[in-house]
Amino acid sequence: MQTLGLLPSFSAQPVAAAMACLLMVVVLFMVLYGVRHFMFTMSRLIGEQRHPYLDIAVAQWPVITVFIAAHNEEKVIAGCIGALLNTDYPANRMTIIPVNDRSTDATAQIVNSYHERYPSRLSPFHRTGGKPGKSAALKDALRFADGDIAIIFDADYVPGRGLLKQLVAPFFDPEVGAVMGRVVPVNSGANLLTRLLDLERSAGYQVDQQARMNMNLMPQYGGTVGGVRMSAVEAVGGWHDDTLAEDTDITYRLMFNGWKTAYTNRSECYEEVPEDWRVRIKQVKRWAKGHNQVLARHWWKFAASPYLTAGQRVDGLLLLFVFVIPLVMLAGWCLALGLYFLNAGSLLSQLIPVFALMVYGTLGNFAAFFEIVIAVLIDGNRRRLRLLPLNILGFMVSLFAISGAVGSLVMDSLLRRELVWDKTVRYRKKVGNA
Amino acid sequence: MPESHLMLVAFAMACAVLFALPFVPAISEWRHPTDSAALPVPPDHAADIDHFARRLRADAQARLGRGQPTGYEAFDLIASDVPTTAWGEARDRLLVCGDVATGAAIFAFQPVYVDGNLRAGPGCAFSSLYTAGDLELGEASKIADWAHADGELRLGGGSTALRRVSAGTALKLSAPCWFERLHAPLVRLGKAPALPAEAPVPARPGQQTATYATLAHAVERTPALYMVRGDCALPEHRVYRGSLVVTGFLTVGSFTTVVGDIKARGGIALGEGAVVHGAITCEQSVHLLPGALVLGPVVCEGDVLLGTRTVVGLHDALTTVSGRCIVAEEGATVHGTLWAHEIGMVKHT
Repeated sequence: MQTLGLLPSFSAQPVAAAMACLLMVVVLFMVLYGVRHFMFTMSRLIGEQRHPYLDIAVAQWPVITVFIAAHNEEKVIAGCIGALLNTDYPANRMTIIPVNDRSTDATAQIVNSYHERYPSRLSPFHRTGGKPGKSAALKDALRFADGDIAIIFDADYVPGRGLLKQLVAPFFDPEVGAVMGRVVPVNSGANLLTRLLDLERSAGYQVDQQARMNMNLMPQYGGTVGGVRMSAVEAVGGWHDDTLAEDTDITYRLMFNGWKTAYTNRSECYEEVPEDWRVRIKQVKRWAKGHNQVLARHWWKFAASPYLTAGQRVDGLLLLFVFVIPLVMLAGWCLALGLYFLNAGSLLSQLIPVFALMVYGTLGNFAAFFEIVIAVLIDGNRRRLRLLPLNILGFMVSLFAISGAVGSLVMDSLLRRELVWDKTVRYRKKVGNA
Repeated sequence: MPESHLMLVAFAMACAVLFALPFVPAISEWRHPTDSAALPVPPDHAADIDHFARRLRADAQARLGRGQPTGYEAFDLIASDVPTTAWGEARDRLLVCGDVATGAAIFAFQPVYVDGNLRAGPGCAFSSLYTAGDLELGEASKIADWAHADGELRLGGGSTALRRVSAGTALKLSAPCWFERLHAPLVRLGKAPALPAEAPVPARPGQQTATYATLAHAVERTPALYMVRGDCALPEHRVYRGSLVVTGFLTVGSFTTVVGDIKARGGIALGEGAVVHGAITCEQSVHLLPGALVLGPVVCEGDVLLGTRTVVGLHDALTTVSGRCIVAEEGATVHGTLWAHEIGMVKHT
């Protein structure tokens, strides 16, 4: 079979030529993501680090409401409430609302026992019906917010003493609509999966999120260890409960309506990560479905927003497409193999360096290997980096899980199936007592 | 087997070995973890400026038998009448019992806890210093790490106070003086008397009520927030209610009051006698001209100029001023914290 230069000829090999063109597009996308990862990492290494709101240690703190999303959280909710009661945020300016969403375990009793002891500080919301899922529960609970700032935690989080002030401080900036802190796996040493997730989380927060903050791009609100300005949420259409990724949904709606999300890297809080591959796959699928819902709904509004800089627009779109990329990459691999069997070798040989960059740029789920290395080194952990090659395992699992989720989402849409919220399993052994 | 096949097998094996090489330490770390603990997140972490001071105080109180044991009660005990020249030779932390007053300079390289007042002459140098009463250091003194006085802390002109300096009641710096992070209910920068902060009032005599909606390129974001594209100037003697975000440079006219927060990406100049009841956020520089009053935090990613007689915060409503460099003219007052990331300076007007 004759090949002409870089691409096969359309007249001689129409199928191979079409495949080669598609492959070129795939490779260009991968290069783009690789460059993005590289820029983020270099920003973290040699760029100016922005923590503008961290300096606000003393102020007249606004009235806030802290929501704890809880569905069957008897193992962990006492730890979260106890930690919140112990924070240094002025007690008379803060209300804690545990959102007990249709729990069938002892969550309600634990919450009520705290309420009996701290009636002025806790105002429990027991939800017995309505649409299932965290976003629906929070939507119902947000009506009871006191003040303009709502801080949201999942029940397995254990906030430190100074965390609330750090999360509230950015809201002194009237342009900030949402704030996100850093999530740190507490059970990182449980098994190989948790150790790999620990590496990924490091890169995602220590490099990705902070670099976005440094470069004035688009840090992402993650739905927990963070908060939203209620008036901003109202202004962009309210809290949506028809998505599996309400955090991504609100991040994008705020952003393309001119609000900013602030990331505070030093506002760290422990969370549990999945210890079981099946749970992890479910979690990734949920993220992928939710994220791609947001993509379908908002990508054009985001691309056309008058409030964004060119950098914010590009970064936001790349982030928006991040859960499509595994599918695209899988397609790229298939195309490359197909071209090989069609004997379009000259293209492949010339693209080998680009493939190398592609591999570099996409290994790891939330971040490339380079990001993981730098993030873990910044965190001061050197030896755990030896696990890095095994991250290919997590990457491969995510690749197929996300690709499956994309297909499933398309089917859901075609068959008009309702999306189902899967709660992440908790692993803490001890049942929390109030 | 032909030689070419042998070469192929050898090449394949070499590639396989090279590919597998990184997995050796990876599998070793997986099977025998040496670094798997969760990243430490201190549960009691808080950004209190007097964090180190409180720790030294707790140790000193334990040593004096007035507090709980801390496990770190080792101090060199010194009576207040011992010549201060001995302080520089101490090998352990110093605990000075009683008031100390001298016209001479004191040098101490170890942390010092003074269980009373301390007044010393010009040219002092301390690494870290705590006084249970007032603290006064003469001209050209230096604090390398931190200093705290439970009462009033005064630094003479030409002094350098790096890192953290705090006081329980008031902190008074003479011009010129250089600092990094200061905190007290009253921080007086320079000797000129500052006018007392007025209680927040919604409008001053002669002010006209105005709305952001009349400004050029103004967009209503929420009922309490407007955004202006480009530069923006608020006229003099007006009262605006609500918050304002400006993408360019914001000028607040003299004796104009903003009952809300303001933010500008290109810089902010607050005119003489202007009042902001909320916070000021800026990605560039902030200039507060003489007599300006700000009640909320001033968060600036560029430089901050505090003009003479400017007041930030109130005695019963402390707040924060932060910037890359902070230059304060004599007579400026801050109630709360000043945090200069590079350097802060009190300068003569």
